Amino acid sequence: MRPMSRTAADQKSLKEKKSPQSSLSIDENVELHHIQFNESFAEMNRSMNKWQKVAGATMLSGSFTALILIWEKHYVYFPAPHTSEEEWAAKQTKRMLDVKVSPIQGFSAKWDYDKNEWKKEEPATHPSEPCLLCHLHAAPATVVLQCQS
Amino acid sequence: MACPFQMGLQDATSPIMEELLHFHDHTLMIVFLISSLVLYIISTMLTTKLTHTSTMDAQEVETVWTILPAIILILIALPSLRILYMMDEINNPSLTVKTMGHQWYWSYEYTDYEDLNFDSYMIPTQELKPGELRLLEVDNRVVLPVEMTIRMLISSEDVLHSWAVPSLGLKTDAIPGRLNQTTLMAMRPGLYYGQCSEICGSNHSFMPIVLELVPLSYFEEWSASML
Repeated sequence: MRPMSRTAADQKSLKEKKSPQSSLSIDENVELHHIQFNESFAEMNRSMNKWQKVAGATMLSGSFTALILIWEKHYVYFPAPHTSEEEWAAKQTKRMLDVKVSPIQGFSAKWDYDKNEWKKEEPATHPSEPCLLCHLHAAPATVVLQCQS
Repeated sequence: MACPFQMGLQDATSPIMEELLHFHDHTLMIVFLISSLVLYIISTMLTTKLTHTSTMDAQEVETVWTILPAIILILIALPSLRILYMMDEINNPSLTVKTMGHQWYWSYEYTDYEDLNFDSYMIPTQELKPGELRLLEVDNRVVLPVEMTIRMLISSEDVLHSWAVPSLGLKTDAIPGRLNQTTLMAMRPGLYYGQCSEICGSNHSFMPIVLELVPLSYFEEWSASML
């Protein structure tokens, strides 16, 4: 709590000063405010540069964690299984497309079975209109349901 | 099956799963709305220096934040119950397949006409053919006819297991001494993967389920060849 800078009698006399507020000095106005409140608005909103400590602590703990993870990957983990190699992953992907995994909205829906390549994103149909809401007017992407029988 | 970095549910293969997908979208939207509101309120409360220490009552806001959650819960419960009852509709299955959970494999019995039994073990990683899925492939898949209602009877020979196939919206516990029933109906042919979903020992993660949904004629050929 703010230490009292005036006695009770002094506070009463300050409050009873009949002159308009603007004629009182700044210090007197602040003291009037402090009779009722702990801090003035200026004092309450003062910048404290707390963010510097927080950002520093966050980055420090993040880097320390990264060090632990690097050590763990090197000294603790087994090597990755052979199924995560690129060649295997490519054959696996091909197999997933052959079996048509999630052909409606998921994995196989993004593959163009006619051209044998991944589908490209559809461009907007109003290139001459530079409005920000262009994408709302573009035609919806057509999802071709492959014949399943 | 699931794909790398997948965030949502797998595409639906059965009508029930489709309903569940939409229900999940609906409920998750409500959850996101509530969470954003709470996050906003918390951040507002934490970033102000103003205090108010003399609150005595707040009858109006208390009424709102009692009635509104009740309404939200009803809006979640109604579609949920609808799907729950839909799962229990009478559907006259054309085929019955029994599956028994063991430590640590599944066994399947097709005994409607002849006596067809086989075990389904996971293929170890070292024995996979190139391109096969690690920890998901099995030696004998469960071949079933597509677009036909199939009754699955699930139980266990030892401890608790759970027979789950996410893209069909199926998960049923395999309980020793109890027979649980679920209905399977796939709209598309293909391979559908699942994994044991109840902790059952050291190899709980290594007893997957693979359904091979094929046209009826292929199914008939297969079942004849397996006898």
